[in-house]
Amino acid sequence: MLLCISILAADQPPLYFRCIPCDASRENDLRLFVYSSLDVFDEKATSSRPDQELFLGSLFLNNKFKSYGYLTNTQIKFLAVIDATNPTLKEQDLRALFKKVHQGYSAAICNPFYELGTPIQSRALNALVDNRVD
Amino acid sequence: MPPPSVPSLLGTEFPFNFLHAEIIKYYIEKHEANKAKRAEFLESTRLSEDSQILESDRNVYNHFALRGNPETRIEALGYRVGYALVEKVARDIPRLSTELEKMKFICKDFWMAAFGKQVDNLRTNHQNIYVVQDNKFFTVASLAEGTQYLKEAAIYLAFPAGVVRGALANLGIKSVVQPTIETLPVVKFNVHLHKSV
Repeated sequence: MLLCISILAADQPPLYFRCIPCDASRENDLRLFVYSSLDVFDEKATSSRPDQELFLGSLFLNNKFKSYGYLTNTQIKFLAVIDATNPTLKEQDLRALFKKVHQGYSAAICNPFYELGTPIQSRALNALVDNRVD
Repeated sequence: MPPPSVPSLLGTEFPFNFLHAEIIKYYIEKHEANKAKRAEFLESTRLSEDSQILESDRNVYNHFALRGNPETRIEALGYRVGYALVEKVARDIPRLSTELEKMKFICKDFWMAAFGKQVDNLRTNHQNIYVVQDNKFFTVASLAEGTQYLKEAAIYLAFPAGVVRGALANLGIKSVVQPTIETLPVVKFNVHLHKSV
């Protein structure tokens, strides 16, 4: 089950973070988990492969999170965190999800009213998370 | 072949040329008007005995005390456009790992999507300078061939130079792009890369 999606760029505050509705402590755990996954991103970046994935089976408060990563050519990182206890989402689904996130991100960038580097507010991206929770 | 997800400019060339010409005209006229206002303001303060800037004049003063010529403003417009456009064009292609791959991508796929054709010549001196040559650049394609309108054509390259700079910036390369013309419509872009050693 998809828990959250995050978009981060190098040297900037996070551009986008959206998780399923849950209590604040879980959201903080998710954020912490996302940031710790960033280190693995840099490791994988040196080994050249087109799409990157990462598995982090960390234990957070008796919950297991698994995060997947995707690095675009423009050095933007997408992260998706799923609940590792019921792995209903398969790798193929996640690849398709990241394609959609990439489309949503490039659409948000093309918005002339969007200032580069500020947090993204996009209904299309929000719908990606909200529609998955069912 | 342009990437299927991005329409090449060839289909919308006509409206863009009109808009581009109006943008250039607007910025040049605004610049002239600002220069005139600045001169007038300086005259009036020189002649008046009370040389303090009144509160009511402060806004006016700030407005044209900011200097910035049309070239830099239009180039900044192009930067934002290039930044967004390269995100769309680079969406479905495999990873570009080396700087040379990124330059080749700019010269082929990106140039096709943004300017309607591929670049004709790419040269480098292997010391962070690339010279990109396009033998029929589309913004100046309709001007007379030869050397008649070199000075006037220069402003028509400010926007594309910004587009290229924005595209490189989004790919992670800081650069300075200078367009030069020797004979229309052959345009060369000198791209100086800032290498972070």
